Amino acid sequence: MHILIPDEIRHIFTLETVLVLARILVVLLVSVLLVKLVAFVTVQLFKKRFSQQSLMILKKAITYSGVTIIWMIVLAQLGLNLAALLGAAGIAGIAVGFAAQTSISNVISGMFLISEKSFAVGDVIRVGGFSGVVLTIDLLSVKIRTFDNQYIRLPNETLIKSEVTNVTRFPIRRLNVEFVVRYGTDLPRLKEVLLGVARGNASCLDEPEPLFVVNNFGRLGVEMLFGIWFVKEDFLVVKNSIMQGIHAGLHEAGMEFAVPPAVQLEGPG
Amino acid sequence: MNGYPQWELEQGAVYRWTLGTLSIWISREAREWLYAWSHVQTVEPVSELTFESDVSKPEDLSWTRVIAPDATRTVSFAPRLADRGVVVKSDESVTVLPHSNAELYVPLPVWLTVSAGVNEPRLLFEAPTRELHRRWFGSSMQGSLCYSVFARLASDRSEVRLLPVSAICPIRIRNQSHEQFRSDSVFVQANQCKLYRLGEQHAHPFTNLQSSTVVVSVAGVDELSFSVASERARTGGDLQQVADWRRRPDDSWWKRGYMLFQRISNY
Repeated sequence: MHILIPDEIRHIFTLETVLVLARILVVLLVSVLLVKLVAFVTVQLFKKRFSQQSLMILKKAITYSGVTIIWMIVLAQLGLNLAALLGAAGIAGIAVGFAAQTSISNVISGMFLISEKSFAVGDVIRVGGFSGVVLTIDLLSVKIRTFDNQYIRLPNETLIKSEVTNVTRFPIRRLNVEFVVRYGTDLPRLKEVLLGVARGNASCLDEPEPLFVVNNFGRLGVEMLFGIWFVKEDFLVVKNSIMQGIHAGLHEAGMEFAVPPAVQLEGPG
Repeated sequence: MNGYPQWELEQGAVYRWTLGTLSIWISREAREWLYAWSHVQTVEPVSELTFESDVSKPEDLSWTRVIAPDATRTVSFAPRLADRGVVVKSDESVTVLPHSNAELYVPLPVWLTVSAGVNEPRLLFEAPTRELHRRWFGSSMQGSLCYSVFARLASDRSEVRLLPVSAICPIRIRNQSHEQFRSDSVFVQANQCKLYRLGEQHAHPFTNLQSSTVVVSVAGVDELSFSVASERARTGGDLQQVADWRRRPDDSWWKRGYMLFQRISNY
């Protein structure tokens, strides 16, 4: 039985065309595998020496460059004039650029974010009302995981315009505990008690030394600031233990926090 | 095991060892080892490993379980240096004159390693023989986490005020600058030092310990370089290595080149 194939299609699917298509398929398969292999080997080679952030950029740079080269090879195999195509792409680019201003702005902001290195993958950042761990820094957005396990996508443009706090940029941090003690409290003794609390806490660092500051004479009492240094990973442990330690230390020393007097509300009659 | 003490433990019984302020409880089950440790500040620190059998573990401590790789009954103990750097701080500062060398001696805290097995002992756990405080060495932006020790920077070996269990660390200071070098503290990369023992092997296994020599080169103000001497620590008597370094000293040209690249490229 003969299948009738229209002449137009018969002319397209000549032996030569089929060979070109097969060649393109082979080129695509081999080159995609090669790009993936190069990206994988490079990441493995520099895994111990580069940060997670640098590895991510390196991997993306290899992948994007590889994909661009593959497309150029494929187009050349198809017999397309690359110079003419690039010229057309330039004109099309202007048109697309007007239509995709936000995306392009995000891409450019992303490049600034990456080059500025204000934060990296794995850092804890605070931006707007959100705090969380940076998961990825992509061309269009930054993805963070909040501490209550939500996934948030922040457009790069927003980040460039906002105030971003990198909480874990430096290896050590200071926890500032502010509280008010009653007037008449023995302040040198209070300092001893607080320093003792810090010394007894295994997560507090001896050096830099804890900070003891009489902040102000307030309406309720003497306003104090006690700052202790710790390794950034210990934040929660230190916060919980030092607060409990200060509370217990003051209680043992017979000292009291200054609290506002209770307001008594009396109803009519 | 360099003549360090070993014990054979009965299944199900609880044993206790004490060294410095460290107390260790170990029990052996059919297929696993159980251990717990803590520092007891109320008792006088002991400089020799003491042993008690048929004791009970304090209730506030919980067992850590280790699956036994074989049916060994033997547990052995050996000293080792700290797992990170140690900053030895003194009340008095020491001055080294320009273009002169000095040798100082400081005590370093010692860890107790506990291993199971005779021919191929496997490390069960290790713990410091005294409670140590942590401190930061460097600026608040860059540096390393260290242990903090208060001791005199002695200019004579015999003047070192040793902790209950400690190793003497010789520090060679080379002041190559035109100015006096003054310091009240010394940073020792204890994790890159080897541990040696002086004298008779079986007499007092946890005394007469000494670490590799640390060299501090002073090229100018704030231009210090620290290195661990690769040659055997200098002593007058019989010297035997009892523990290797935990981390190979950073002396390779590749590593230095890479650190320089990191500094230049900010990566």
